[in-house]
Amino acid sequence: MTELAVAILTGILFTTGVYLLLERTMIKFLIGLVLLGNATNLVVFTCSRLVRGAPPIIPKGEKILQPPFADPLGQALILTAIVISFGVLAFTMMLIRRTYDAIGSDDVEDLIEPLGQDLTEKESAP
Amino acid sequence: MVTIEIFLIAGLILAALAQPIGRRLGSSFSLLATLVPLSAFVWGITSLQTLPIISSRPWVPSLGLDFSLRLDHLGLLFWLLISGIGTLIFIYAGAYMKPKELPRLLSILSVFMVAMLGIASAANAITLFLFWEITSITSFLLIGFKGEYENSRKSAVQALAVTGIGGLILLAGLILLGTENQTFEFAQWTSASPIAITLVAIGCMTKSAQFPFHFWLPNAMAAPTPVSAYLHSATMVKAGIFLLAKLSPLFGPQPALAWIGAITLVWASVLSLGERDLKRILAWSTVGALGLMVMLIGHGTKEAAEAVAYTILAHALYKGALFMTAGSIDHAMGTRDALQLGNLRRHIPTLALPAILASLSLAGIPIFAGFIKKELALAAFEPATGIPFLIAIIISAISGIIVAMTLTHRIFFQSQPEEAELHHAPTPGLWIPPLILAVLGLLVGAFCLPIGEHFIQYVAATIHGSEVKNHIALWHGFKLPLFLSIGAIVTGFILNPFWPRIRTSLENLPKTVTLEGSFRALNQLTNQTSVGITMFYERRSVRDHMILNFGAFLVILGVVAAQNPMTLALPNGPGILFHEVVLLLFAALAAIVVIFIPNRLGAVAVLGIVGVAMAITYVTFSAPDLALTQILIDVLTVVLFVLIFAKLPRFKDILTKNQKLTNATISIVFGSAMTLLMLAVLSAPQLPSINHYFAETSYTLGQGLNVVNVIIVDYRALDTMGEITVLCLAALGVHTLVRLKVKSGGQKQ
Repeated sequence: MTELAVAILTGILFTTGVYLLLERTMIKFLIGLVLLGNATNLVVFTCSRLVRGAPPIIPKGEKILQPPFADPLGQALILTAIVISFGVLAFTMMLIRRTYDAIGSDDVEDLIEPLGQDLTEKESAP
Repeated sequence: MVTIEIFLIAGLILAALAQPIGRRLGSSFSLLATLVPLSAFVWGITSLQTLPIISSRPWVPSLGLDFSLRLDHLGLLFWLLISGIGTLIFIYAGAYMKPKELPRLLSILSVFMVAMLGIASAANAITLFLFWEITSITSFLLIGFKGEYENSRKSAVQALAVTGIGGLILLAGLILLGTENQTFEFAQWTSASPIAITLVAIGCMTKSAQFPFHFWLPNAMAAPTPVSAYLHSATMVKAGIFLLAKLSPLFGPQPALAWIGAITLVWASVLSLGERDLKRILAWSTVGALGLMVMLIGHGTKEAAEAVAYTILAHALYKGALFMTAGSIDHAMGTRDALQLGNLRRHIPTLALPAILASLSLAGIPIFAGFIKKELALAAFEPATGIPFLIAIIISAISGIIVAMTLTHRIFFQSQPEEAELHHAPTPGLWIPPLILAVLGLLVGAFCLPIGEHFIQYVAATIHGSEVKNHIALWHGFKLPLFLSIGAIVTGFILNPFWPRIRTSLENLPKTVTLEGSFRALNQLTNQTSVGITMFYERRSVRDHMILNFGAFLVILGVVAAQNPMTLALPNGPGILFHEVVLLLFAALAAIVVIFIPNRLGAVAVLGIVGVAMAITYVTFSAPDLALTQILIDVLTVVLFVLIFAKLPRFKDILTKNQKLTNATISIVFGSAMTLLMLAVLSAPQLPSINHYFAETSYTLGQGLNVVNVIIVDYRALDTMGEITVLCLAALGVHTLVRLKVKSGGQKQ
């Protein structure tokens, strides 16, 4: 039951995340990115099975971890993912901020330039 | 012997040093740079008695490939041409190029020279191909040397496309030959299948500008003149001739090749009369000479082999000189349009001598090398069976006379209605190198026969595969070649006064009849198709792009799900507890609310709440490390949001109702699909996991009690390194963006 509930929450996070990614406002796009990251982490977390009260930590004085324990590999992967997505997020934030400074708008459609400008040829040989 | 390799390496060192040193020394650097080709030339002369020179070292032992070199007489002929003319070209370039451009030119020319010397001395098909491709690439760089001009770029790409595709075809042919003979060493090849011969021949035809691939060569005249003289007349375009000649004993006579050569010879000889640009006239004449060589190689007799050997030498001498002269005329007068040049003997008398000497050789006037070349070529064909080939040679001889008259009598001694004025007189560097070549053309023809004859006979023997002992002489007696020669010369002089009229009637011919038109059409078609495809998926709008991506994802997911029916059972994990229900509901609610909050700060705050709920979920299900990280990152995210976007306006409601409906549909389908996917995974039986290994060894091997930590810093340490690198790069990117000066309040379109 618990896993079903978390799966539904994950679906909701994906829904909201994708909805915001389809927006035209740049900051909504960013928020969507965060939600999408959280949802993806939950997928990995849930699919390595949910376990209550058994963190993968070896008790003091023992040498091996006795089952049952929560999946340490999935956790390690998510840990990396959280940090990386933060790095990407920080960069995207700054990029969007500077874009806003440059074009004076936070609408992604304003980024579109007329076609073919950079393709025009200037001169021919002597 | 490692001497060959020393010269190859010396050339590469020169290429590397050309930029840093050349920039300080200016034009005089070219004199210093000649040390490399000059020493290679001198070494080549001295090693005449010790041929063949062989060297071999393992290259890719796992593939049985050796880097093997073998310099025979044919190779040495090319070696001497490459290094000798290279020396003169380096000097000439020093006078011709602007000092600022010189180091770059010499740098690429040095790489090219190394590659050509490599071709001349390669003993292994793969070694040869490596150098072959380097010449194509350096040729591309040199034709496009003045990259700021559109036609330079286009000509460069065209040349690269033709010779590059030809290179691939050649590679296929060489690999076929290699597998047929179980080795890539030329010397051990004993059999050749027709298909392999065809592929190799096509590769050589593209390189040596044979019909119908010839069109790139006149266009390559967009390159600076030292390049045209060196690559596109004296050396690179003869690489195809070289390889055909080298493999000629294996291939035997190839009548088809002879016909292609003959067509090229006639076609180019005619078209050379339709140009007014001196360099393009010479380029067509070069195409014709290459056609003659291919024709002779295809013919495959002893006489033909000797004629090829002599033609390679004679042509390089007079054509190199003529190209340099044409470049010097351009340099001095500011134009190379034959219709605007006149009375040059008064403007630039120093150039008259090289122009006249080289033109006499081109025209095939007795005692010059060009005369002997023509006699040998005519003698190579039997009057009974070779009439078409004899006619081709005569047509080229007539055209040669008219071209030679244009290059000398017309521009040096006649007056033109609209004459160009002298810009600046040529410096010695602009007329001495062509003069040396032109005088050599005279000496080789008139005086050096006794010495040169043996060498040419050895080269011919290499080409033909058996000993050649035909006497080369200025005077062969009153035989057919002599009469044909005289006839051609007389006809040429009769036709010469009509050149302007012939020229205008031929002017528009090339564009309609050659492959160039198809090449352009193909080019355009490729461009349009790729633009069309790109514009189909690259919608230029972030939103459209996102819709396409998520839509594609859903379609693929649907197809996969339809092909692999999954059983969905309710996972039989632990039952849910009340506080967990509350927590999950809270998180879901927060996530939904984020969408509808019109206020930026509010949205970010609620986003923070989602993050906290995630952290509590992690804690609940035994992941304290994740919870800690999540909280930390969550706080940082909110803080960054507020800091960075403090002064942005409120959200605008830009999307229309329909667009919102689309968004909602896609996102709900996507979210549901992900939930179903998760349930499918959860209802599938759990696969065996490596977890137990971590549980058992993380203390004994990793000395850590926290298994997650041990995985991150020990078992997956490299992964973590990568993660840190990504973070560093992101930080660098952020730093750069912060410091980037942006025109604020820019124009909104």
